[in-house]
Amino acid sequence: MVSEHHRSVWLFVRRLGVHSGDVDDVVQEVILVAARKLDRIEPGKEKSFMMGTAYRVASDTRRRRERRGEVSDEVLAETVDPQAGPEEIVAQRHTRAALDRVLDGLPPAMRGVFVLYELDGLTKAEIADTLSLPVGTVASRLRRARDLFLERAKRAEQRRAL
Amino acid sequence: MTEPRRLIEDAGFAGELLRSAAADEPHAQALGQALKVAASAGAAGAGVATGASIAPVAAKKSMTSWLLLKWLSIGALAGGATVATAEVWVAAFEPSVRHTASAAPAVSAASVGTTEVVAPAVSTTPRQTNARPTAVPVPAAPSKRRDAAAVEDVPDVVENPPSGSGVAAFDPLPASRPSLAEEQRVLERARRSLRQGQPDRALMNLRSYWRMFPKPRFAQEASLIRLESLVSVGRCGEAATEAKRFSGAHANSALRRRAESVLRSCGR
Repeated sequence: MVSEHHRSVWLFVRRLGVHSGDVDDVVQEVILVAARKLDRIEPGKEKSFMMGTAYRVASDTRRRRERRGEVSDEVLAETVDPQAGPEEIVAQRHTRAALDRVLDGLPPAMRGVFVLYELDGLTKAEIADTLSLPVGTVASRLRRARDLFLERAKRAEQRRAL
Repeated sequence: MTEPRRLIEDAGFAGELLRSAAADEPHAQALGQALKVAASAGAAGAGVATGASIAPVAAKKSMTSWLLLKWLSIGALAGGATVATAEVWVAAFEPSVRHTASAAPAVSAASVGTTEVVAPAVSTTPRQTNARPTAVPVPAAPSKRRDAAAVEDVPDVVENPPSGSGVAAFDPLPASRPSLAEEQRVLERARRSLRQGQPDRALMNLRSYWRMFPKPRFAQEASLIRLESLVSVGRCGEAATEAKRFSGAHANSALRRRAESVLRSCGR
């Protein structure tokens, strides 16, 4: 279960805006929770369990940092297309950093739904199951998140053009 | 409920931003660290095991933690932790293979988070736009093939557990041990073959896996992929025998219930 879902969980935590120094800790905490509850996880629902747990642990971790007054870090992309040339790599990294900034403008509740839908490809029903939310709530948060994302992306593009 | 078109498909800047996440990857050490934590979690609850018996920690939680350790098939942990030898059964689907792994019960589980997180176990079938699929599908009705009794997919390697007491010396990983990433890649090939509807190829990939990694870290996962592949090609008799062995060895494992669910596709 760990090896199969680790990547998805790690990326989800990262994309939820958890500080780069905390991502590994959050993922490890998710694993420990899964280990404690292993016998209660239904077969075939392991990923959903881990993603749902990741969401809650990531939210707690972000809140703790915010209470300490620590701003989120801007971490450039850890990896880029290995076949890209140097200029392309720089461009990719800047675009990836811009994505983080735009996502940082989404309230956490919306960001989770948005990331799961847009980047992980889950359906609204699947997101509702994962985050223990009514489907209507997921739909509403997704709608608002998409509007806000588009608005912020437009502003980012305008800044880039300057 | 209709799903709105995903913004990642947008040709404009919004889509470009989202597509930039396609290259995201965990750093190289992330998985290894995660597996160590998981092994610690298993070892911390397992106690010391000697010989063929498990230490008398009868609590279900301990058994579950122990099963987690076995499920991960982790060898000795780095860091100089004191270890006890435990006999790890991977024989569910590798009947002729028995591995001895070192557990590290002395590793502190103090890093367990204090936040009690509860996430309901719910069913999802995620579709990922930029990630490898992770679910191994339950195979469709098996083709008509004569059940084979032979376990030719499993290497005839018998590794006897060390004699003597259950407490053994620390067994550091040899310098030539294949990397975790490499092992994962090979196993992923088998998983992918199965997902693509090529169970024969998956069985071939698994033969390579066991040949390349005689002490596999992911033995139980490999075994489960093998079970699903056997069911897919109609080798239900073989699958049933091995599923029964797996169930006996891992009565409370979440993987065991999955194994049984797979076997039902054979009508057993």
